Amino acid sequence: MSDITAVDEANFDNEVVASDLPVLIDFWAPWCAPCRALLPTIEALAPMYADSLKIVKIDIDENPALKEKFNIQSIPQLYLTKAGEHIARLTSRTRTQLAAELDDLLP
Amino acid sequence: MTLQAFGGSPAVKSQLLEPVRVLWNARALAPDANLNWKSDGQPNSISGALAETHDRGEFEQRTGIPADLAQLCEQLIAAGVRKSEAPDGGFSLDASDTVLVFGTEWLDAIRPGVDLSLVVPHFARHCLDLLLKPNFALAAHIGADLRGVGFQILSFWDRELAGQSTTRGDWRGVQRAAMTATAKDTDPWSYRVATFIEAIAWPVQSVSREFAGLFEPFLFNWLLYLETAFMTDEERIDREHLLRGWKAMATAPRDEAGNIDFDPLESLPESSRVISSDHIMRTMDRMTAVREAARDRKDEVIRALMNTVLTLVDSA
Repeated sequence: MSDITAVDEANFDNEVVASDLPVLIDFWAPWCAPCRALLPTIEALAPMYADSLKIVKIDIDENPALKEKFNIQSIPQLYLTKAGEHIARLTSRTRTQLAAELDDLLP
Repeated sequence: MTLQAFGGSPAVKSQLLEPVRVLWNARALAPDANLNWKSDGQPNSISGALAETHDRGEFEQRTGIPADLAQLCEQLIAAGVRKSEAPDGGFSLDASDTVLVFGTEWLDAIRPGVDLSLVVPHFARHCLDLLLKPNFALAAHIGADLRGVGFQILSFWDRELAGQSTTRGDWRGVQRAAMTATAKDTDPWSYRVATFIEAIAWPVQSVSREFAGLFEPFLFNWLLYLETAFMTDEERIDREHLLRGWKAMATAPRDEAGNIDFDPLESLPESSRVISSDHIMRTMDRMTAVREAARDRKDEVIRALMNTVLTLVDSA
């Protein structure tokens, strides 16, 4: 059902670092209700940006090294990355505002 | 993928629903739009118990019911229920029978094999139409710009539901107008209306999966407003200060740990006063009485929304 690729420590390099497209990472955890509430919004964004953006999700409980790499202190967090490096944190939580943020950030 | 409710089988419906009916009638389940199932320390939800999962995909696979519909129904019941901890460490639900009966009523209404995928989109359309009506409870608080955006969305949704297409460019214009109207809006009662309208400015079938989460704060605000009919003038003004304070807290920029590095209420002393624990404690008994006085009026709104769901399920 979900269009969002689940990324972990094993496939992070392939899926995120080596991606030709910028990558939006949704840091989440299954116990986090706001994260689950945000997921349909992220899933709705994915097809709209299929040509310009890759969207993935990372479960911070399963991937503590990635949690540490990005210094994740609270979830949900949405980070825009290029070649695996953090270039922006998206703070909007509605699809309308997230799309406006992305339109400003993406080339 | 087309979903078929209960896989088209009355036997599957009975097999899934009857154990839930027993648990719900015993008040051993608590409505929750997160479809709680065996989540840490939380009681199971009705829909979570139905499919024995809180995962949306698994829920749909096992029941043939769109998860967005289940979330909406859980949310409507939760809006009319006060859940409190029981002395034995469990919980108790306080609600009118007209609200509680919906716990299994919506499931009973589903014909095995029916495709329910358009129930939430049509419910969303009904709600938007309702909030744009001149006799809507909050109508006086919805400004002309916001109302104009709402009518544009409604018109695009009607085209979509009639099988006509809209373009990304059409929607971009509406989305920009919605964000501008929201940013300009200063009425304390319309903040949640504005954010709701802004968030739904997309094709209605794509809004469906998000709808329960977007509708919840709007419904909460609507029900809160109904309480003002039972308040004194001073209490009504305090409630507006409360809403201004909530908006300031909600819109303040936060750092990566979720902290705000300034006091958003510093420039809102009256909001700060009504949000203080001292004020909340001092007015608690009175606000409980107000909530109780408004209960029938709020239940009427919730029940009317439930009846809309039942009508849409029946006509699917």
